[in-house]
Amino acid sequence: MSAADAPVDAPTGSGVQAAVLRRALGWLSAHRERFRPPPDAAERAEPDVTVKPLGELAELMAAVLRRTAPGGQEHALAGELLEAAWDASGRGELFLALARAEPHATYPLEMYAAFAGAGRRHAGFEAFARSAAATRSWHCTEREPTRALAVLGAERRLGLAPHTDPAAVAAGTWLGGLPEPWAFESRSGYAATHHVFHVTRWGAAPELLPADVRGHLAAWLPAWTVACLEEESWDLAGELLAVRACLPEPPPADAEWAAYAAGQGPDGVVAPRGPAPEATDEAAFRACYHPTLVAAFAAALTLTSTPADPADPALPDPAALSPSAGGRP
Amino acid sequence: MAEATSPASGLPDAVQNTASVIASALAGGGNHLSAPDLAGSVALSAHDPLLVACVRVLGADALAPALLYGVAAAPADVALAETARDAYPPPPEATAASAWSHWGLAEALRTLTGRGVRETQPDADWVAGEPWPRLAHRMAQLAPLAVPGVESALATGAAKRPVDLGRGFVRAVRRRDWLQAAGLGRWLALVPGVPTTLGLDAGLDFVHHMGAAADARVALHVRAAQLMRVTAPVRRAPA
Repeated sequence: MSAADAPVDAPTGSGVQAAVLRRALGWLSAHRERFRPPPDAAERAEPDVTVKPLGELAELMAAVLRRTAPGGQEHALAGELLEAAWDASGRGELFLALARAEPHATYPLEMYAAFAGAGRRHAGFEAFARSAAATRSWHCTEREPTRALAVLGAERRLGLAPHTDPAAVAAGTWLGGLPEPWAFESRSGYAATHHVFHVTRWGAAPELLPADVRGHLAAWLPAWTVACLEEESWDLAGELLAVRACLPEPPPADAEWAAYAAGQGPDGVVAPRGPAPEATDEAAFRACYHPTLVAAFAAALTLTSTPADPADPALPDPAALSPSAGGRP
Repeated sequence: MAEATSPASGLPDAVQNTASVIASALAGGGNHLSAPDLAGSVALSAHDPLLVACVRVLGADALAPALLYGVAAAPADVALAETARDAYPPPPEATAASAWSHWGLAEALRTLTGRGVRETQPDADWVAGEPWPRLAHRMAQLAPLAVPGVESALATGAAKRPVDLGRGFVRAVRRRDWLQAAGLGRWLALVPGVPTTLGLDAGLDFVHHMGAAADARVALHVRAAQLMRVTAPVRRAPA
């Protein structure tokens, strides 16, 4: 279904995001034990399988917690999930174990930083991280630019010196290079969404996006979002809707949200692509935990972002778009 | 055998052949058709109903080399286009695509020959109001109207939505709908105010590489757009 012809009887306005958030949190709560890492996670050296879900749960629930009103059910659920994740990490012991297993890897710090940003701290791990981040090796570890932004964000949250210049790294990403928007594909799309999440501190600081990147997104984000929705790429579409809510003045996206909400299963699950699964087994969890986390995150950000004036059809900032009328070859 | 030669069944192939000839003429830098006229170039009789139908399908693009290079059309091509215009008048209930295609052919003829009166333009109010994905779909179907010198309410409306047309181009590439992308590329080559960040020139090249081999209409639209990027008068953005 295209975003342009979403059903007219679907909930409209913020009701759509509230429903998506409520249902996604319900599914995440029902499956919270599946985020728990195995006892031998540090020995298995498979962080993407064993601990990455826990780190993502913490990062996105911390964001939902910030963006929901205290006293509300969604705020309470996000807080419970964050606390459950912290408990599942042995209140931080996991990160020290991971760091000792792979002492020069950055992912333990990246995951831990989500907890630290939400006030859950482990003194032993932080002492280890301070020592590791002071080495020349840490500074010259080879990283893709978007990943370097993640490490920079973690360093900032722990009060460590940045390992390199954040602005230079941001400029070196796919999005920072203001790429031709028709070159968008999944890989570059995820690079772009994470550029925005890291630079804006997961939506907390939209003003940190440089004006040229804001202008680029104002012009082309709708095209990427609609295309992903039409092909039912719910995971990337959800991230793009979250990016929209990270903009200082998000453009209207009621039709996009209606199309996105239609992809969510009745129990709140969101599949990475295509129809929501009916199965609730481990395989379904592995496939769907990320898009469902993203759904909660995007919905919470959108509910509390300040929309641009929907009466203004000229959404992109004209000053940021530099028309090409005089620029023919 | 009868089927193979009837206009309906042979029409897609004839359109491809004719579009290919026109695309080559547009790419040829002033060397127009390979023969003195369109019929000779596609090895059909100018009276062949298949060729007449084919010209009606291509609309104003049947005359694109003359329109875009600003030269006189071959008299035989003018006669052929007039035949096509008169053979397929749009019925009152015609779709906007059909009505505009007819109008474009008639207006192209008037522009090139100076003969005839300007026909009433079909409705173009939708250009202002359609959500951009629908706008892109509809405008791409009317890409033959994206020609400098053929002023229309479509072109006036399109000039007010350069970013939306650009979004349509991005979406069409993502969908690998090369014909829609190429058609939108023509409008983007015509209208002012297209963001430089779109990278239109590289995008047109990309669409040609990806889609022209399988569909000569993609080649025609891209070549027309590229020619417009070089030759079209630069317009000022509306205030």
